[in-house]
Amino acid sequence: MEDVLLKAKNLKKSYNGFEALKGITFEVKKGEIFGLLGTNGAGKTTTIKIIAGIVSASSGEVFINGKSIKENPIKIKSQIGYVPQDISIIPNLSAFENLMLVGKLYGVSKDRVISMLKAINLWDRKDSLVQTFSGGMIRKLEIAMALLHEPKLLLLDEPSVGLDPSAKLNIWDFLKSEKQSMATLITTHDMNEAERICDRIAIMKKGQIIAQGSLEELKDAINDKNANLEDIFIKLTGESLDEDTQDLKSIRKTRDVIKRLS
Amino acid sequence: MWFLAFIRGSLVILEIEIRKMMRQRMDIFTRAMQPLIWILLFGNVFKNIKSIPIKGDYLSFMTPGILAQSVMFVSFFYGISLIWDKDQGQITRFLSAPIPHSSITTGKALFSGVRSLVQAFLIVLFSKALNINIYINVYTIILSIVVIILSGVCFAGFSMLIASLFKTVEKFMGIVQIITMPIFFSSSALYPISLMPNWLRVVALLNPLTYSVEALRSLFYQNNPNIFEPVLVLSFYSIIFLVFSAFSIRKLVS
Repeated sequence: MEDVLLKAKNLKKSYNGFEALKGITFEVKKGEIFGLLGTNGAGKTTTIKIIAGIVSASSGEVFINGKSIKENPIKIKSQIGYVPQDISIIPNLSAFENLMLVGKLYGVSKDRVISMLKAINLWDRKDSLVQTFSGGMIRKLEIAMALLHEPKLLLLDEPSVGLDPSAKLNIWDFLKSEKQSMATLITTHDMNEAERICDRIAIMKKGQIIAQGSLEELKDAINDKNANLEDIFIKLTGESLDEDTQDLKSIRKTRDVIKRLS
Repeated sequence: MWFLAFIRGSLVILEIEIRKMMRQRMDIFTRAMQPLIWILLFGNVFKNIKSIPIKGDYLSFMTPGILAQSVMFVSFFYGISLIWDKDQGQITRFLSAPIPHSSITTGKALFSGVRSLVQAFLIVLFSKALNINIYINVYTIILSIVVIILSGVCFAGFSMLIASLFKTVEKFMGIVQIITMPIFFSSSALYPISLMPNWLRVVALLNPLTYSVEALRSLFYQNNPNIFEPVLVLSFYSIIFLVFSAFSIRKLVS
């Protein structure tokens, strides 16, 4: 039997009568990177926030390692690493302080913090304030914060927004090198990112998953072996992922992240 | 397990806030200016009004009131940090950590108490330099630390409740500006309750600032350590505000 670490079953979420999620179901296995691909407003961030225990689902269930997150949220959360889309580091504290304080929330030892800083090549900058770091270093530090307690499930919400191409490649290589020990769920609206690092992809539109599978399976779904992910996405959703299809709030949020990383 | 996670979470959040404060030390001194101006300007005028029915001099009577007011103002405006932390993504990270949500608001409220202590220390120091007659001894110091931390927790809890309900800096500032002045003037900070009309006395008795003022006045002005009743009322308000703010913190990110 395959090692299913995350199972989302018929998740629904409504905000003041608006249905942000209309019953989505998917699984993520250990060693796998699973991508949620969709435009802003498709329900990706809502999905990841429900799984991270930040907001509650209106109905449906999330199982992590076979256990419902409703049973013992504190224990379940200790198995999850989460990187929010917003920059969540504290800019006027040092890299060491940021990592050490998050480590304390998870009961992680100081030795582990030191080895993590060395692993991400930030040991030499451990005492520098994070506000002096480049965007790539900040994102790497945030991913390190999420991996510090060796989670079974890693959740990444748009991790490469605002990064330059070389910093993106760096982050993708890092994620691929770490993926075997856990299940990874990533939300993105970057076709290149989804195609390069995701083993399987779910395409979301208006709170629903309209297709999911490996890239090859998605090609089969539209009967076009030569299609790339962008072709598949446009054919299945009738939408593109350009900024001009996004609402004002989403554009502002994305630009804010870009501004803070640059 | 829940209780241990609560303690751990509260202490880590407290440590984060203290570390942030240590990087912005100037802020502590600039915020201490306002109460000093109250004592210097307002106090020196009001001390000449003979009809205020108090024993002793007015500045000694007023200083504990200004101390409590200062704790209230600092703690009330501290709720804005919850919105800033939300905008910076830190609240989502805390909410995803294996700690109860109540530990986020409790840790922040405790910090507001600790932060108020620094402010109180500066005001007491200034009062002594101005030769204002307030009682300083071991028990007034120890008990006033308890009252100041408790008052900070109480008003920060109230403030975080407002922040989590109104979510934006603009709305938060509007609400806080509307309610802080009535809370201040309907308390016994500047004048005794006996001077108030009956309806205002009822408001004063429901006002947590009155209990903060009365406890500090009992210690610094009357040298009387019997502050059980105001401490009990402040504890009650603190628990209520912390419980409600813990429940509503999720609204910030939903």
